[in-house]
Amino acid sequence: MTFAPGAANFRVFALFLLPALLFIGVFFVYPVLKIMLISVTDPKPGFANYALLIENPALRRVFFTTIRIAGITTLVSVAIGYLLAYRLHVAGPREMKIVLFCLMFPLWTSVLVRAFAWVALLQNNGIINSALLGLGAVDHPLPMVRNELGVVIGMVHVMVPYATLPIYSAMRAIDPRVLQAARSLGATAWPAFWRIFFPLTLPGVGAGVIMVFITSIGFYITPIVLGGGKVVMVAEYISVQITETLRWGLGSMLAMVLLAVVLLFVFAFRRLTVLRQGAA
Amino acid sequence: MLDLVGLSKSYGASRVLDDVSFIVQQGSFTTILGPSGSGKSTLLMSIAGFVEPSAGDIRLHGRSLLPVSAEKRNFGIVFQGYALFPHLRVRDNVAFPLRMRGLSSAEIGGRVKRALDLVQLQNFADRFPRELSGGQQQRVALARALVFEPSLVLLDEPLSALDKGLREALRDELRRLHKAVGMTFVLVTHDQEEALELSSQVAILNNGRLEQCADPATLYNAPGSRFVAEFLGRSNFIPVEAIHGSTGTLQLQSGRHRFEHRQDSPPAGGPAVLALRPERLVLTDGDASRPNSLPGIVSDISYRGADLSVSVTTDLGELIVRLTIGDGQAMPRTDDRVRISWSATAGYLLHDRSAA
Repeated sequence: MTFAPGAANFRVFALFLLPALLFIGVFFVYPVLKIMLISVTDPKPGFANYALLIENPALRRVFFTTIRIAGITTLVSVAIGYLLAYRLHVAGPREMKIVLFCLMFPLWTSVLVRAFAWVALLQNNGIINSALLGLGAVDHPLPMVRNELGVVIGMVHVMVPYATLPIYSAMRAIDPRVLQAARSLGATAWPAFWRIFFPLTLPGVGAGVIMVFITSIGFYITPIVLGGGKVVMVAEYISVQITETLRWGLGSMLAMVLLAVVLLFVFAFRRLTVLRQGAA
Repeated sequence: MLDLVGLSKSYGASRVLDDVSFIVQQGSFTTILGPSGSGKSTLLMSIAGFVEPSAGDIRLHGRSLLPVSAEKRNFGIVFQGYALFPHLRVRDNVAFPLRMRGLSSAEIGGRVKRALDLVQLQNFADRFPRELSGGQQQRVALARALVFEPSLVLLDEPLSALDKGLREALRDELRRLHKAVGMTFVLVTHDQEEALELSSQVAILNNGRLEQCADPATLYNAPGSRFVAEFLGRSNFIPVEAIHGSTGTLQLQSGRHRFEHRQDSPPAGGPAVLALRPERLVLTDGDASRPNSLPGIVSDISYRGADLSVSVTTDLGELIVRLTIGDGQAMPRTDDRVRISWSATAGYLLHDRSAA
């Protein structure tokens, strides 16, 4: 059976699409619109909630902390992800299986459990500080939890697989003959990597950056556990507004701004990488 | 200029190249020809420096290339599938080897322009490879391989991905380029027509072994083995049971037939076959008895435009005769009784290794 373009066929397609559209409409579009509505109506109609973001220094701080932590997490995760992906790319089949397993295994463990595991490792009387103190490498414990460092460590640990896999798939897509060609034309290891291999992996790096950044910006459990109340990210702040102080309007406004930042980022970043690749 | 000396390559138990030796002359167009799996690409990649031979040597002007890494060999390579840099414009693809050699940008600009002129792509310098047709991509790959004036140009099945018309046009272009730049070309292909038409020398590989290395006319007219006679063009083979005489005109015994044959250096001893090209055979009336002829019945005729391919069943097997039909000449028909005849110098006597 073949479908010719036409009104009758369009109706058939629409029928097949309907369940998915209904699902997205009821469980995604409607709630988002509702939140948007709340952000400009609660407690009273107008843009007072949005003005708070500019007026209130505490709110601003939460916001910039979130973007800073998500940005650092993205940079570190993508850098580690690139190295891991390269290792996978050059590994033999046996080593590849082992590395892939180590990479995927944490994904099957709860984020909450992993955050507490990091607390156990990083706290003042944790394994790392005890070892450093025992060796005499430091005089007093290094502060690694209840601060941004701890949050970033925990978040990077969660995000590295999401950075590695798209980069690895971009590396796999490169025709090995292209690299042989570079060598035959006189490129030694470094120029061949920097001028040919690396630019060809940029689409994967871009995908990794988008994945990690938009996920990081909404992180909730990891910053709560590893930030210990001292490092507050937007998601936690929203949760407090909705469940404790019951300022639905403020929470909704933050959620909308977060959504806008993500959309803006994806749009800008895609444009940037498309330009870098010089697509017509 | 380039000497291959006893080159072998094994992967585990399988021997991909087995004791291959031949010489590539400066300025020549040498083709490495063989069916798929014959080791021809491995041979080319050994010359390029991407495959390390298990034994033997590759020498350029008498000096071994084995300690020289691929990026230092200074060979221009056109890869199968072209291997253009997808993220670089045509101009930057071609400039790449010059940048790697640290040339000034003025020098690079001039050379890139000349290389693109040479392959007639001057108007495509700012395109990306994906915006070009297969034939144009091929020419970019050629320009990139020639622009730094390498001492040797290696081409790995450069035409195999193109359709027939384009392939023939680019074949002419390759020949023109080779003449224009005066560099030494080594081409790998499985297309015998391509090999015969382009090369001054053809090395035929089969199962990793060199069957024969010679100019196209020698390969066609005096094949060194049954494989060569079969792989280059078509051949009929008549088994020969005994050879009488050793110089001058030989008498060949085959079944109850006896044929005259003259050859400068016939193979001595062992089972032999007489290889006969279909176009060297003549078809005559079935009744007239002539020397060097064989009676038979036409079993099939295929019309090929310029000529006719006639299959004739004889008591020495099925033979193919190629005929050109002149004006007013009668076409043979199926089931006609005919005689196939040939001159004493038409065939070529070979050792029959397959029967040994």
